Amino acid sequence: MKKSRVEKSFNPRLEALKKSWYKFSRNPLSLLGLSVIMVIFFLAIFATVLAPYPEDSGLSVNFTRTFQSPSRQHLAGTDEYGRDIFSRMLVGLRYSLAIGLLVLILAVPFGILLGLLAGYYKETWLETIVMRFTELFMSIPPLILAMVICTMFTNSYFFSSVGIAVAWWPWYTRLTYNLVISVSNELYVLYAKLSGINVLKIIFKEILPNIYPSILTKMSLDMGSIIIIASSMNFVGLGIQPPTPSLGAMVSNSISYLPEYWWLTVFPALLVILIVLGFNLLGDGLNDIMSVEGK
Amino acid sequence: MEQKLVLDVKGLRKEFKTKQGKLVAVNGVDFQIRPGEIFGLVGESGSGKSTIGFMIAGAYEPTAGMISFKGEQDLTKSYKERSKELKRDIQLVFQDPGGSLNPRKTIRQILLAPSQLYGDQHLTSAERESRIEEAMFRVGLPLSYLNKYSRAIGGGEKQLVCIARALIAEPSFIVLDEPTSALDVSIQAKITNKLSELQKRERLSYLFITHNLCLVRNICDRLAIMYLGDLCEYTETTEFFRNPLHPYTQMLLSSIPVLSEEEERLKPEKAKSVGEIPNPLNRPAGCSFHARCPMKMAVCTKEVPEIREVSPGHFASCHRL
Repeated sequence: MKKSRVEKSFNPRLEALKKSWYKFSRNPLSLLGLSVIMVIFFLAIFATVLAPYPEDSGLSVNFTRTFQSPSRQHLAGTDEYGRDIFSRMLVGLRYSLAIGLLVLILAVPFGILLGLLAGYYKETWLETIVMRFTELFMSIPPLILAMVICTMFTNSYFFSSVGIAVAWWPWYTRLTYNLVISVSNELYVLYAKLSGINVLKIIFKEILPNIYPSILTKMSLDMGSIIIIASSMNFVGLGIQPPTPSLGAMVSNSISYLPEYWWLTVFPALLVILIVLGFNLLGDGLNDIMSVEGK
Repeated sequence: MEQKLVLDVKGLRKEFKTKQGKLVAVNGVDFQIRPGEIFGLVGESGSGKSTIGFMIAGAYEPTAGMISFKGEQDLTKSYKERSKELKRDIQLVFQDPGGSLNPRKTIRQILLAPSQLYGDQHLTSAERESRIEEAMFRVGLPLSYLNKYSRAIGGGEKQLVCIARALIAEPSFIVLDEPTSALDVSIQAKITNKLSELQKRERLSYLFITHNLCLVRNICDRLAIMYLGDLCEYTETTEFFRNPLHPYTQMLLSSIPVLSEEEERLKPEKAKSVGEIPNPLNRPAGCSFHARCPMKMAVCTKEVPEIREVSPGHFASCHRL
């Protein structure tokens, strides 16, 4: 038999990735989202280096320069304790992103796993138990549930993330469950079952690769929502405690100074909007490339 | 009989419970497939032919009846209770080649699965690779396709990949569920030729499920015609086209489009197609075909006709015969 060896060094996955990147890069909004997110992550990671007054993120009081309007020394002005708002925003940004990531790390794998099980074993008792349990959690508004958990345990940065995660996983279970059900009707899943491939391989090799794009998109979109929820919790005094800066608390604490000292509120609020916008644009971009690619 | 039958189906029945009531998809069907034979199962959509294929492959369990494979194994169990060896020996090719290949896998990954599943566990990856390449060669696909994703190739090529995937398992029997009906006519012929070539070379038996009578005429040795879950006629292909007995099969043959007058004269002139297949949720009493039958008698609306051997090897179920 005549055979010509195929180049094995050729990597199909890399080729597919290149194609996806090409598609992604053609949409200016997706690129804008990606750049915003990259800049935001850069600022957050190097917050303490970049901040002009890093000591202002802690317990520092400087009454000689309270309520200064934005200037060259203080890009976003100073607050009632004379702290540089720009420096506090950078450090607060770090905490906001960290909370977003932490919540996703806690909520997403758990949610996906339950969704995969419930979807694969549909029409069994497992589906009933998992989905009713999920709906129970979904019936409670996430902010309320997160607040309850945060007050039940210690009111700390970590437990506020746990609280949000507890409220957040059901949405991933629900999404995964629905995706699994639609993918399970595909013939390649039936073929895998008929040919005797084991359950774990079917779930993780046949089903999961076909549904993760939607999950990834939702994760990106959710980053924004989680940061808003964390900010809302800060607003009522849960989560990160002063003097550690958080974007939500910075907005809420300075509302009483509006409209004279507008820079205390407007700049942190704008940053929250920018983060949410960035993640949403990125999420939409991801959704575009992955859903088209799947067909 | 000199050789063991590949497949022996007796009194096969499948009911589905739906919200509108009981749906009888297959209503007591008997047929046999001999070794090395291409057996055609022909019917309109909704006639239950695919349901039979799915039961043989183990996707559904029959409500009643028996299917025995090579005279010993019982195929009435679903895939969950079948042995690995049995799963290997009976392969399935679906109608929709796009849907039966995972779009996120390369052709190599798709073909690797059956070789890992059924092949010798001690094979090295180079040996596996050569098995995959051999399968590609058997179906006539270029090796460069191995690195492509299944979504990136054409429909006919996808179907060839499905066939290659079935061949790697080295089955003796393949259920082909309308393998060409989703494809272009030009590609249909190519796939059909490939299938019959493989069948001769590798001594396979096929159950060829289709609604296309021309295709059946070209490749099947024997065939059975289904209507609304019943078998109406069952015989050798040559005998069938020479002497169709059942009014429904006559109607089917007269509905084949023809190009020349010469072909027109070959067609039975009796029945022209009228009406549509009734709702299987609401089966007519008596013969399932009586509503559309041009030769209906009083008995047809009351009694279900038995399938009987009208001439040697030629079975039909009609009160007229």
